[in-house]
Amino acid sequence: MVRINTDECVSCGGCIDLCPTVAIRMVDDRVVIDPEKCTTCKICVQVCPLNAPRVLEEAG
Amino acid sequence: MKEQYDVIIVGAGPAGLLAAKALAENGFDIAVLDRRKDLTTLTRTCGQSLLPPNEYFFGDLFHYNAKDKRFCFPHSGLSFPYTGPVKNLYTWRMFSPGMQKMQFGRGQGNEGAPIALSYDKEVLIECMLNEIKSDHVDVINETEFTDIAFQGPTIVVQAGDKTFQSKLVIAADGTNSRVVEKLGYNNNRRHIANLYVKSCFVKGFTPPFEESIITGISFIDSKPVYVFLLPRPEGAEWNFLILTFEAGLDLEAAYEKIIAESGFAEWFKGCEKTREFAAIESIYSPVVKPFRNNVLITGDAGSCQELECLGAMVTGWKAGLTVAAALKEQQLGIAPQAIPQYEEWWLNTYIKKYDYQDYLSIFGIAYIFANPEVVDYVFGLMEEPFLPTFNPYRAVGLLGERLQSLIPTIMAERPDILQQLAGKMLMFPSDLLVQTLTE
Ligand SMILES: Cc1cc2nc3c(=O)[nH]c(=O)nc-3n(C[C@H](O)[C@H](O)[C@H](O)COP(=O)(O)OP(=O)(O)OC[C@H]3O[C@@H](n4cnc5c(N)ncnc54)[C@H](O)[C@@H]3O)c2cc1C
Ligand code: SF4
Ligand code: SF4
Repeated sequence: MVRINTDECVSCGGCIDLCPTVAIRMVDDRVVIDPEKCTTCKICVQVCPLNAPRVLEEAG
Repeated sequence: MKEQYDVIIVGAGPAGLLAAKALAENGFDIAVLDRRKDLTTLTRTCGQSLLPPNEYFFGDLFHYNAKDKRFCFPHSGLSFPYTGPVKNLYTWRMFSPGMQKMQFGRGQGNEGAPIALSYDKEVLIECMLNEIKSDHVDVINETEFTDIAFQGPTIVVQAGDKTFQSKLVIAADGTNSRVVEKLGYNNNRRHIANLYVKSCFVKGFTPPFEESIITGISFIDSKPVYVFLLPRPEGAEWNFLILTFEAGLDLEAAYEKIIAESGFAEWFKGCEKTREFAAIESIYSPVVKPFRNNVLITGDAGSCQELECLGAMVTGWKAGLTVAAALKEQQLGIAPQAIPQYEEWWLNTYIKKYDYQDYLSIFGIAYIFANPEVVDYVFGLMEEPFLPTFNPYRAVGLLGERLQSLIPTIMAERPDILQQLAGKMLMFPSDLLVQTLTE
């Protein structure tokens, strides 16, 4: 799955608009990915101007 | 917070807030939804310069009334207080990679009308929010539009687990509008590219001239990157933007390179970043018919790239007045006039007047000339300043005329460039972008 590095994300909202499964939401002006909805398509990783979303290795 | 309103406005940007002002003044019950919590702290990049204040734009002649500190749109009958700082900008200098320069405006002192007004967008949003304070207006933050459904004459707006109902909806949720997407408009629009932006405010940027907008074309790993440097209205701060159409180009690395190695490096020495922003814009051809299923589209939600804040404000205000009149028509059982008039106005004042292809042409320059050496050569031919403007649509017209007149010179000096251009010059810049980016 993918997680947003909060140190680098400025909450511009761009990835929210482009995520195909609407897995990204703004909560308290922070951008979070719902792991249930994320398909690890990596679109947010490719489009973020600040390289904030990171692919996490699958556990196990 | 209620669940039932006359009108729901999605998006509390310049367009949504002025639509809200129009409806609030007419006494309708409205809700403005926005996914952000703190509406007056911006996180998405904006140049924060109002342009163009020296000509009609979207049918109005915006100006700042300094006596009373008001933003005025005389043609639309709109004015409201803006209490923040302003700075007039008179010249636009556009640099090639090798620092050859094109200039709009003469840059000699402050004579003539300014080409842009630098302002503080956070104060503007605060002032707009003040304008709509009323018992019958709910500004509902932390509420993200997710879906829309139609039950007879009622529109059901879904925002996560919250549900709202209204008679009409105004879509003002910006350039990647989800309302527009959900209504199916994007199926008939042409997707041209995505624009990726990193920006920050910097202190200590010291170019050898003041009150000038500075832009530049750079090539990073042979990919075009555009730089914008806009003076902030106070505090010797600059708004520094880096834009690219190239997916996957590392904007963080580009930022370091521009500061350390570009022609601007000297002016960046010792500068310090104060705040950081970003933006992604999906660039579609504009929505041509902005009303469907009792949803009216306004501001960037219906445009290609962006309408600029002035365009967003004028269209948002117009949309609010239109919906107020449409509701009144419904109450009185009068045949609909207001919405057809808005559609016609959108068509004549935006679609037919401001060709999105022209807007994109400014970004097309780097793709047309394709390499730094050629961009340097062409910029070098354009020493004579152009008329003062920062209106991209107008600037493109001026550039095109000048290029036309330079063809004999280029033919004599650099026939290779004309050969290289032959096909590209005939192509619309949006076609060229699509072709280059999909190659
Ligand atoms: C790089 C860049 C530079 C620019 N430079 C300038 C400039 O110098 N001068 C200028 O005038 N303009 C500039 N602009 C354009 C300007 O920012 C826009 O034209 C203007 O903000 C459009 O206003 P709007 O109200 O239509 O949309 P926006 O300002 O984008 O407002 C949309 C609102 O909707 C909210 N929203 C989005 N999706 C949802 C959802 N699903 N649910 C709820 N809320 C949602 C957002 O949080 C936002 O508050 C620039 C833009 C960019 C990207
Ligand atoms: S695009 Fe990047 S900076 Fe913008 S909200 Fe998403 S993760 Fe954050
Ligand atoms: S990886 Fe794909 S599905 Fe997951 S959050 Fe990013 S864009 Fe959405």
